[in-house]
Amino acid sequence: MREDFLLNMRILPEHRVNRFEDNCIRADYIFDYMAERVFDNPRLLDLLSIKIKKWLAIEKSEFTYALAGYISYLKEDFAQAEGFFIKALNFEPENIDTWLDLAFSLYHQNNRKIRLALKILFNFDTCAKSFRNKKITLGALEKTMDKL
Amino acid sequence: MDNFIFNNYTPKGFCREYVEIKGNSSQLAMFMATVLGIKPLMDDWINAGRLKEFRKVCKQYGLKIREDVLFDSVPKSDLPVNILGRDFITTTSAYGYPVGSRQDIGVHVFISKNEALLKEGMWYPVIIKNRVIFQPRIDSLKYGYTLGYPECCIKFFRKFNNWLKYSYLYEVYSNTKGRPSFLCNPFLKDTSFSYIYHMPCSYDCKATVRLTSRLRTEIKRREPGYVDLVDGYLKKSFLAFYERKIYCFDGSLRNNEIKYKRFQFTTYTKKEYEDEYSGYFKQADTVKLLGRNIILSRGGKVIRQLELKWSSFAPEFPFMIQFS
Repeated sequence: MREDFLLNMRILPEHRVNRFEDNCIRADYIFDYMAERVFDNPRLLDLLSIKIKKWLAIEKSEFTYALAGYISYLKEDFAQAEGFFIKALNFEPENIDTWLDLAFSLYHQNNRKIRLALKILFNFDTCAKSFRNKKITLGALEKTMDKL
Repeated sequence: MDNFIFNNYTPKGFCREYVEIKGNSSQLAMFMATVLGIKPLMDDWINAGRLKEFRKVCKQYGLKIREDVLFDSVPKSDLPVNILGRDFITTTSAYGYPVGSRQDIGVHVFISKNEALLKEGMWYPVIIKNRVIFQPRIDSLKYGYTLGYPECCIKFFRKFNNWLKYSYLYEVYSNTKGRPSFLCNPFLKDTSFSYIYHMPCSYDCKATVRLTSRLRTEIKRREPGYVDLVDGYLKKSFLAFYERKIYCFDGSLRNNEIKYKRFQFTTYTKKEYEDEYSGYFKQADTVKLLGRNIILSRGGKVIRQLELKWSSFAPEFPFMIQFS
């Protein structure tokens, strides 16, 4: 799967977790790099939409779910992106990059989700710590954010 | 220095309330364009203490509003060095707070006639918990479309907006084949006297002319005095170096020379070093551009010659232009 990704995207399929204590603005470079490629070549997104289904069938991991989230976001299917980012977070709840990506996928939806997005953006560090041993769902997130 | 460019304008009727609540008229034309349905979406900053009144004004003009976050603006030089991402902030630097938490600072808002478009508002980088939170790259790439900028201008900006490689304003100048139109003049976009907020692909861009022509006609029906002022400012002579160094002259351009009575540096800045030439221009009444040399005269006599230095970041390729 990763070889296929490299061949098609010309981007190294490296995935790093960005923990709060790493003091790193963003460890992932793939999302922004894909954005540049897709903006200049919109048809690339059609190919990626087909490929991601195959990649998810081969590998269900934090990386592929995050990748699926990026592709959905680039397609402006923010609800789908939200779902994939939550799945990625359930593999690695301490990844700040994915928390922020989830927040932005909510940021472009309805008012209720925008409110949740802003709560996550203002409390990204709490989010990364609060779900270490808990399953993340939209409902669980809203409950936790309401307490803040 | 004369500050004529930074004067506010209060309309007689149409959108008067906008200026009264904001306390200034920057983006007035953009607000008018949004009210008229010409601009699909705009974003603005309104003092939190006046947000309630602003919501009423938006309702009055048939606009929907989405409140984003509070901005506590801080000069970049005052930011502590331990702010993560500090070096990547290019324009405004601000701490972000949730709406409702303070009343003394500005709220970032999105405004549109179409409620569905409010979801397309773009997050602006703010500092939260010692970290700059940046928007996804794709959001900034696409935002021009959301704001109603012409496609040709978006694509040109994409190619040439690179301060390490290009002098963007000069690239636009090089791409201008016809007569520069005041309807394509972006040099005053941060003042109250501009019909556009985007950077056009040429100073005679047909798509921009169509867009601003329509806006100008509609504003003229309602506020002819404002149009007269805006037209007058946009048709002045300009000496442009790069986006943050442009001088506006009250005088005519002929053979790369401007005879002027007054002039103004067009960037609103507190950094004196950015306004490199006002001190020299004050002493002269004529400025001529010869390659990378600026020749200043007074009463027909040359008083000073300045040679422009080369720089690797934000390279300056000066040119003179008068729009008509």
